[in-house]
Amino acid sequence: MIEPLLNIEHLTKRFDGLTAVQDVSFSVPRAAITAVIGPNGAGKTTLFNLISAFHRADDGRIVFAGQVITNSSPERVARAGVVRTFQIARLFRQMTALQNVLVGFHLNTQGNVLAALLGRRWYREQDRRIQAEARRLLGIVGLADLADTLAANLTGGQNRLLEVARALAAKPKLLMLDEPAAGLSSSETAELVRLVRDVRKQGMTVLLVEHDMKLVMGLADEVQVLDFGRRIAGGTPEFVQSHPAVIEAYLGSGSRSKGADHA
Amino acid sequence: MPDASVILQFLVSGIGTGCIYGLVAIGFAVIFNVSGIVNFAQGAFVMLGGVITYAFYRSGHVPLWLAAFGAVASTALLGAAFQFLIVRPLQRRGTAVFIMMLATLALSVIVENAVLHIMGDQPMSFPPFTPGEPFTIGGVFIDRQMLWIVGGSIMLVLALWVLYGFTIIGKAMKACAIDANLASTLAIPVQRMVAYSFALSAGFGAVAGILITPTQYTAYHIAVPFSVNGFIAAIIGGLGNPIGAFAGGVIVGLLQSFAVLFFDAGYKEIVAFSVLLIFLFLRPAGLFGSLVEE
Repeated sequence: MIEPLLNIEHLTKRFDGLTAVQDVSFSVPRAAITAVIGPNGAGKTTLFNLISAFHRADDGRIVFAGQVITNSSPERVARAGVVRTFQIARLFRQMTALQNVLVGFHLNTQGNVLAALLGRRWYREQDRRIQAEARRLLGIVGLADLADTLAANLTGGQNRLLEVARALAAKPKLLMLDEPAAGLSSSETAELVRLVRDVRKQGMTVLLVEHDMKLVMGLADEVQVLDFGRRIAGGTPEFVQSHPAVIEAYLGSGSRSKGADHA
Repeated sequence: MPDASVILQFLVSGIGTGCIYGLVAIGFAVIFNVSGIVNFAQGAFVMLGGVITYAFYRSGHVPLWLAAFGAVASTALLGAAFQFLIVRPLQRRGTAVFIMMLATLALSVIVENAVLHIMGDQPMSFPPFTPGEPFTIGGVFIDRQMLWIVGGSIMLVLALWVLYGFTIIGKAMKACAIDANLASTLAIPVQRMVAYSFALSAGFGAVAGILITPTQYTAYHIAVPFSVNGFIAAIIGGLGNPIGAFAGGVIVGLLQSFAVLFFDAGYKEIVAFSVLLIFLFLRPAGLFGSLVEE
């Protein structure tokens, strides 16, 4: 069996008496799409923040590609190859769409500020190549015509697609998407699904948080279910869908699953 | 009313000094943009540029251009070292930005006193880059060094414009200025970018000091006036916008030059500071706005 790309081991996070993530363990297989689902307040986003080192874990560890990355820094996690998007898309609003993607390429660029200032030939060539790649990525997410528009002037859905393009620019080993379909129109959602399937086909591993059950069941290879910070089930979409604990968590608490999930 | 050639003469000298203030102001803006720190050691970098060049040159073993190159490189290194040894650890501890500004003030005082002890308190100078009589155009004298000052400044401004506008690393520096946390999630080494900005600012300061020294002199005590005037320039042009900050420098240089012409040399600082106060009230983001704010 191939070693999973990411192993979550007994991960626990407490906030002032509230345990947001409690003893969660699962692994994320390579070149597959894994979805983390759960009702509002289940700890999905906290889990994401732990993996990307925005939060410090109280217990447990996170092993990525054989390397323990628990409680390192967001920068180191990103350099290891884990790049994420946010529940509310975060962009460099004063930069154009193209520039946002260019920033994403930083991980794959060489050279320092001296090489840039001196305008060394290899540096200029690298810049040219990356400009072209960035435009291609914008085309892939359907934003080619908006390359020179400030991110601040894009719609919510466009922002989200741009954020995905920026994350892809980093060529991550693990792409983490926090509720990627939130705020997308149905055509944009279709675009996104196609995109995520595409990157998986190219061998990228995807971990996403999503509360749109229908989307997850059609897209994910594996589903992990959280409820009140605990992992209650995990497996194929079919397995999870018919799991009594999952049905209980989703249906047994109709009031909880209503409304937007901002956990 | 002084006649036209006198006015033009003061215009030329104002532009020259203004370019120097502009380079200092760029230094302020570049560091402020990435880190939010106002670096009060900027004038000390100007002073060091001239002093180190003088020291190398007077040793008699190196040509002037090599001495100047060595001075820029060592000042830039000092800037990066200061970021690495002082600013970075302070930032890691979550120290407030104004504390770090105090640290830059401390650096300025330490550099000044070190220079005073090692080089003494006498003015130091070295010859202009190209010897020869000034050019005369319509009764206005233009010093050869003045051409170096203006030309050198324009070159540096262009380089900076290309860096921020057209290179990936410039984008990464700008990204840190806009949202450092977000930049770090894209594997951009924020602290290294801050170190670059310190090295860049120190290097620009050193170049300014080297360009201006042949037209006057350098000494340990010029650090503070250059910091102050450069800071005023940066406020006028926009602390968040390096190219605007340079334009602010030219404006301050011209204002001071004309203050000397129309009033008296003693009014130079009064004019500069009055303009600073006006800008703090009316346009705190500067004439040319900011890279960061919308």
